[in-house]
Order: sequence, then structure tokens, then C-alpha cells
Amino acid sequence: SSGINAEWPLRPGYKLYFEVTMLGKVYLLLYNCCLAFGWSLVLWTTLRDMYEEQTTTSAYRKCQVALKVSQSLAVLEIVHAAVGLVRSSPMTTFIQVQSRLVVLWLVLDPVKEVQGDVNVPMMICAWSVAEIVRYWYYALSLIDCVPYILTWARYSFFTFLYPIGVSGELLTIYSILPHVSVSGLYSISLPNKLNVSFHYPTFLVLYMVGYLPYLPKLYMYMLTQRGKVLGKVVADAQKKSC
Amino acid sequence: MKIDIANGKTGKTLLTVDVTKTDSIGDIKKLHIQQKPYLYPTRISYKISLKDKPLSDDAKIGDFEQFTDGSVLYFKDLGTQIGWGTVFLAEYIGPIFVYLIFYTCRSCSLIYPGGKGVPMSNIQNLACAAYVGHYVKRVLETIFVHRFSKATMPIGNLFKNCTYYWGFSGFISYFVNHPLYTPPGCEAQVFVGLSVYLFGELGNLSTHIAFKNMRPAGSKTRVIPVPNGNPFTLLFNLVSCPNYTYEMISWLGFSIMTQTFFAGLFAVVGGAQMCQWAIGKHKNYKKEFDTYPKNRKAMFPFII
Repeated sequence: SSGINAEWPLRPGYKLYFEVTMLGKVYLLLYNCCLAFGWSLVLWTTLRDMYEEQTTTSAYRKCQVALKVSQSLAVLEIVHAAVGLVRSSPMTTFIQVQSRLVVLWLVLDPVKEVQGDVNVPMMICAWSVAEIVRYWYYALSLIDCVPYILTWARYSFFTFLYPIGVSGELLTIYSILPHVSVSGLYSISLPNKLNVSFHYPTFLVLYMVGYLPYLPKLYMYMLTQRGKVLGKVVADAQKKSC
Repeated sequence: MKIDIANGKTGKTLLTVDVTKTDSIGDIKKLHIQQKPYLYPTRISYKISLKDKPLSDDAKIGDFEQFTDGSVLYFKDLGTQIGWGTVFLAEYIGPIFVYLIFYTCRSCSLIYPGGKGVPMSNIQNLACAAYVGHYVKRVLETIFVHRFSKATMPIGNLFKNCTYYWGFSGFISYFVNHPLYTPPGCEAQVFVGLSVYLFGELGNLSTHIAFKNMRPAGSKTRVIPVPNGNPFTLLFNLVSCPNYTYEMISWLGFSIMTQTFFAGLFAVVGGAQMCQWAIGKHKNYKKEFDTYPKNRKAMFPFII
């Protein structure tokens, strides 16, 4: 592997605008390691708090700093894709990152009342495990040293992490609807100088509906990727042993 | 000589045609359609190699030296096609109706509960005239002015484009015609907005007419655009696509006049899309004409 991360979907003929220089590789290695560590901290803090307190009510409060830093840093991945440091489509990376940021900063963080619900740590744990595996996979790919178990995890965990994560996200969005209807959070009503109105609860419902067509598509895509990648690894291993 | 027509994706030969050097691509298409009657010429794309552009219907076999017995043409089915003129008419007639629905339904409690009895303001009447006028102009241009270089586009574009135009019309019209609409603070702003809008409309129309005159009827000629007697066309000295520049100016004028968020958003989103198109056309001009003026930009003078 030349240290290039393959992500979905790869446009045919997509060019790397930077050569992946030594500096670029070192930077990416640092970035991926930091984020793997950050998400490990999130997971550890969340699980430890739930174990100690025997409840889900304080988990978000405890892990929120590590969570916010780790998830917000992911914005850099859009930049990496856009400048060609990493072989991903900037648009796809943008869609993935923004969906997490919306749930974290515009749904979960502003509405204190729902932060203790059980779907919150469920979602955070799903995100954490997925990200830890992903960032370790990228980091070790850069030094061409990925153990099979990690590749396997990267391409198999999604089968349950994805439904758990998405359920958590949808439940969290759904849970804030009554609260923001009453508080008027992010909503604007007429009359005003710009002649615009925005009803945040309605927007959230449409956002959730908008999610739906992507779920089966993404899942199917990951399944076919799994077949290709794991199939190739097994075939390569067999060639070597022969 | 015998030419194979193969599926561009699989490489499998679909049919073989017997042609001479004087036969054109259009003639081959006719032979192809005889075998596959569901096809029509605008739906068929032939390429000599997958990296090239599709061959034009007028090109003759003799034009390509590499063509001999057994050569291959790669075929792609472009899907159901729809005429550009048809698409434009659908895109532009819709907004007129959508806008008028909100304009006329002030007392309709389904749309504006509590709107009954609230009088329309002058600005709302003016905005309606401007908005509907813009699209009436577009419809008339589609029928009498535009000369299209490509006959058709894939039918999926029809739904995408109509959603965009009709959707934005709904949002803009709903807010401008709302009983709780707030006009701009000072009348001068309305006057400025209206003037900018009219300037943009006239400039856009002038550019469209100039383009029409650069292309003889029924042809697909392409030339370097230059200003004609109309002062609005002087913008050609600075940009390749002044029609887009003037169009954005129109919508900015309309936004200033109505001080409505969605009108401004429409101007910006439309401007961004037109800028993308302008950059593409500008690149094509530069590729096609060695003498293309160097300081011309695509859509925004001196910038891009």
C-alpha cells in the first residue's frame, strides 16, 4: 500500500493534487493517531461513567469535551480530501462529517434535557468504536503495517455499528422535537426584516426523512466493499503461502 | 467496409454495419435504429475510443483515417432524451403559475391563515410584475431567440431543473406575498432595487439577442462573441458569458427591492451554478479559438 486511504465513492480518474510526501505522511500519521486516542478517551470516559454511576444520565456531560474536540477535528478530513492529501471525495467526506456535527452541536448539545437518555451513550459508543478502528486502520496503513484483524474489524464492525449509530442519531433527533417546539430554538417567525421564517422542528423531521434513502445505499456499498477488500486479503495471503 | 458497433461498457459487439467512406455517423445511426427501433439519433452516442468525445452526426467515415474493415465504434445509450426547448418551457412556465398562486391566494386560509382582509402592498404588486415579467421574458426568448447547439438532454434533468425553479418560486413567492411581509425601510431602496433589476433584464436580453445573431438559423456555428451596437453588449469585452452576469444582477436587484432572504439565496445559488457553467464555456472557447481574448473572464469581470 502506498499510504493512500481508499474511501467511498472513488471518482474514476480522481487525481492526487499533492504527492504524498514524507511531510504529508508524518502529518497524517500524527492526525490519525491523535484522533484514535481522542475517541478512545471518549469511549473510556463514557463506559467508566456508566459503570460507576450505574446510569446513563451523566455520561454525555463527562465525555463531552473529548467528544466535541475529536468530532470537530474531523472537519480537517474535508480539507485533506479537497487538497488531495487523502484519496477521498471531498463531497462525501463533507456529507459524513456534517451529519455528525449537526447531531452533536445542533441537536444534542443545545438541549440539556435529553442528554441523559439511553440512546445518547449508545450512539456515542457506536461512533467511538467505529472511529477508533477507522483511525488505527489509517495510521497503520501509512506505515504499511495493518494486521488482518484490524482490516477485518474495519470492514465488519459496520454491520452492527452502523444500525446502532444511526438508530441512536435518529432517536436523539426525535427526542428533542418536543423541547425545541416549546423553546423555539433556532426558529424564526414572521414578521421580520428579512421576510424569512424557519421552523426548526419541521426542519428536523425533514432531515430525518432525508436520511432514509441513504441508509440502505451506504450499507450495501459497505457490504460490497467488504467482499472486495476481505476477499482480496484472503487471496493475497493464499498466494503467499503457496 | 464492415464496422462493428460494440457496447461501450462490456466491449461486446452488438451489430455490424456495412458502410462506405462517404457515409456519415448519422447514416450509421439510422442503420442501428433499423435493428433497434426503440432508439433514436439523439439517444445514441458513438465513440472511437472511450476517452474521446462522442462523434457528431455530420462526421463522415472518410474523415477518420484509422477506420478500416473491422474497426469498432463504442456505443452508449444516453437514455430517454428531451428537447432543450421543451425543458426550458417547463422550467419557466412553472414559476409563473407557482408565484401567482401565492400572489392571488391572500385570503386562502390554507396558505395564509388570517390573511383575509389584509391589503396587498405596492411593493408586493411590483414584485409580482417583476418576477412574472422575468419568466414571461424567458418563455418568449425560448420560443423566439435561443438557438441551441445541442438538441436534447437526458430526461432526468427535466425533473431536477423543474424542482429547482418551481421550488424556489414557491419559497420566494410565499414570503414576498405574505400578509406579514415587511417592505424595505426606505423607498429609495425599492427604487434602487428596481433599477438594478431592470438593468439586469435589459442586459440579459441584449446578450441573448447578440448570441442569436452570431449563429445563423438552423446551424450550430460557434464564434468568438464580440460587442455589437447595443451598449449592454460591451460586457463581452470583459466576460465570456455576460448573460449570466446580467442575470445575477437582475436577481440581486430583485432581492434588494423586496429585502427577502429567499430571493437573495436564489440569487447566490443561481449565481454559483451559472458561474460553474460560465467557467466550462469559457474553457471551451479558449480551447477552440487560439485568438480568444486573454483578459476576458468567465462571468465576473476581472475576477473569474
